[in-house]
Amino acid sequence: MKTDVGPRSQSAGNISLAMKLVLALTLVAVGASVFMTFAYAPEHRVQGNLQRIFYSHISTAGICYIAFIIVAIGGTMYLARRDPKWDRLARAAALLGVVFTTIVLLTGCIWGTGVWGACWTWDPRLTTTLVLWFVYVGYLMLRGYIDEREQKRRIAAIVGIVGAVVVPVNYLSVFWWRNLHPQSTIIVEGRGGLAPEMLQTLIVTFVAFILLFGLLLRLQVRLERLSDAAADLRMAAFAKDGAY
Amino acid sequence: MTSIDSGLLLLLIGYGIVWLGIFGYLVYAVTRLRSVEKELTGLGGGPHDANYGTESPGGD
Amino acid sequence: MSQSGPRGKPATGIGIGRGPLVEVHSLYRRLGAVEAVAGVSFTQRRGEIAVVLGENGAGKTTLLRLMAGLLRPAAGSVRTGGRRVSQTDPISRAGLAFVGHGASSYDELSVIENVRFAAQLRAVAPDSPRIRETLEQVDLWRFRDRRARELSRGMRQRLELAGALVADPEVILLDEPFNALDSRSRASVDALLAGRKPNAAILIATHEIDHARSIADRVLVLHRGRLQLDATVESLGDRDLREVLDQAAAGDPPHQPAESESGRTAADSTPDRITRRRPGWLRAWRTLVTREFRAELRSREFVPAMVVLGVLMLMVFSLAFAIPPEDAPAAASGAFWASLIFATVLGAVRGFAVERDRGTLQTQLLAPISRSAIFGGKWIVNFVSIALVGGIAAVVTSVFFRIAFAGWMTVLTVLVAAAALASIATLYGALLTNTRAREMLAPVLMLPVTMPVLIGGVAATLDSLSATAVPARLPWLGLVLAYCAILLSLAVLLVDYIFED
Repeated sequence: MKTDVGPRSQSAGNISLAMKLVLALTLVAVGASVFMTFAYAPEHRVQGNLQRIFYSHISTAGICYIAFIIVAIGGTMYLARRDPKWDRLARAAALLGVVFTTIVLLTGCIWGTGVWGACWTWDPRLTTTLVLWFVYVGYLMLRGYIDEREQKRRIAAIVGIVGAVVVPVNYLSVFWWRNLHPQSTIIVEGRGGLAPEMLQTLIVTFVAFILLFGLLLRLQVRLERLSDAAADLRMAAFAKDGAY
Repeated sequence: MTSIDSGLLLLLIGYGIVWLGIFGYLVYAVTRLRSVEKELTGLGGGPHDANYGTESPGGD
Repeated sequence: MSQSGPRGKPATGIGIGRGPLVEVHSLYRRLGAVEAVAGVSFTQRRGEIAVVLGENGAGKTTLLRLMAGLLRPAAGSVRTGGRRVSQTDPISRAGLAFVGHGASSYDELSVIENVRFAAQLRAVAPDSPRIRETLEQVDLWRFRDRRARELSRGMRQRLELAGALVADPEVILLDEPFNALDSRSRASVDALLAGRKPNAAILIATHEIDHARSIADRVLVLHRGRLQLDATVESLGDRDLREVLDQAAAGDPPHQPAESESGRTAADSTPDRITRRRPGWLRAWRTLVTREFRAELRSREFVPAMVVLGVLMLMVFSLAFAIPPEDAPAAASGAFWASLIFATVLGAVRGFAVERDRGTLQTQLLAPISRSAIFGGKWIVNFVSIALVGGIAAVVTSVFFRIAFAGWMTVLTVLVAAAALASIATLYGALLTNTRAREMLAPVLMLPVTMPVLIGGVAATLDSLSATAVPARLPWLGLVLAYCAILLSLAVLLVDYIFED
């Protein structure tokens, strides 16, 4: 039986120096990103100020894809090692994945409304993001409907892995669909032709969000670990009270 | 409203959504963390246990 | 294919001169919060009947299921014939038999068909004389053509026994086998077991203390998952077994776990070997598929429902949209694929779930066949069902939308899509057998994964309806086929994890 391994012991029981550094770095990056987004990056010729949402939109989109890869990796490692920490990682990434995917969908909608007057388009990226949203939500729902813990972890791991596969395939199919049926979609302006300041802003924003995601993931994993610990204790108390 | 203004408004709404989402999650996570830590202490697996909530919340 | 090992001379006493046939070592397994089996160790030799006694919840069933390979131990091991019993190792289940609570035989199949099915999964030929012999031994030969659902509970129990014993197993695990039996049946089962005894190690979990005493050579007492007593019946002398049980339950065993091995020589510790017979993958798959089709043809439970569902949805779509004639191809395409996908998703929940509910999946999981054969069996049935529904739906689409929808291209597209959809249906069907609210979870989980099939299918049929050149449609078929290949590869890689317990 694997036992729950706690975090490496830290000095003084407070936030460690490394952690403080990361927090500081994140704050700096976020601050820089906000500044660059609103003040440094030039205004877009056609789309105007609304285009500035692009930096956050693309960054959070990148995060969601990273998150689902983590869900798949967590699932794979759990099946291989049966260590609950991998399952906790997958769970945490899935929850954050839902949060970030929702953000992507909503900001995409806002952007679309401003630029083309259309809240939604069936372009490959948005469509795949929507599919991803459903995969995450399904994953979390599934966990709620299985009672036995080992089973829950195992089945969720498999669902997470299979769910990850659909993402690239879906992207490809919508991409082909769009190319062959241009009248049914509107082309979203790509990354081509970015001014250097815009590229820099994008990079900084992306880094800021990655750092932020890392911190949030760590927080969520900790939450999952404590939840598991509480569940363990509850189960032990129950057994002691005479489950027979 | 000029198109610049409406663009800016939408930008602010969009930006607001991003940070609202993140903060919303933070509020949820910290609230749950507090309640789970409380439950753990109640169950006897709390601060005395080196594995669990000895560190201050929000960081390891 | 068969694998046999050296057997040694036939035993005169209880397996003296031969090593253990069954070795259970520090077996541990939780079920939920409860330690169902906690550190149980014992061995058994050929030619011995041991009974496992204990109150409800002592862990008897869990122990037997662990030994049969139906449950995965959290720690410890079970070895039979020197080979570790594992869910991922089909050969390790060869030569083993398990009869549990409840039926694991198929309602729609007859007595003899059920026994033949069990036999074939263990590489016994369907026309083998053993089938008749075994049925006669349980006194079911005269009822051989009766459907299993028409049997009384006692007869059903005897059918379970026949299925388990037809392949001459050398390790026989029985969980409360006498429950539903009247005294006459009980006597014939006793005789049956006595006949098998020289060649097998038999372990029986039972409540029937007196009966146990009369047939057993050895007594094991479980309490709260722990082995409290392991003693020969001889050594217990005239003691009342009930008293023995009570003492064990109070944590005070009359003996220490018995040194029933005393007097054995060192040479006796080499494990006894089992004759291992298992069918080839293809043979196992064919057996499973034949059974599936036979059962479906008789019960007509699922395919008709899926067809009706598909057609109903087409009707809903046709009525819901006011479609001008020039848009008919696009609407027809969409409606067709939407209906096919919904019919698949809603109908797919059944397959494994029903088997799990009815206990029949256990027969397949116990057999010395690989999990991928079980998956493959279900897959082909799903494929045929979905293709059938697709074919009928295509014709109905042509009628409802008044276009020539059902053409060669559509047929090909439906076949390719059915392969992909069957992969999804079988995969998620297997995963969701043990979840609550699976009728709702299945669509939620499956629909996102069917998107590429939807898009590919619609694109391919739209193209064919607009009469573009054939090559334009082939990439779509290629995409769906590639998707199917990816899904099946994943399924094969993960199949052992999917069926694990």
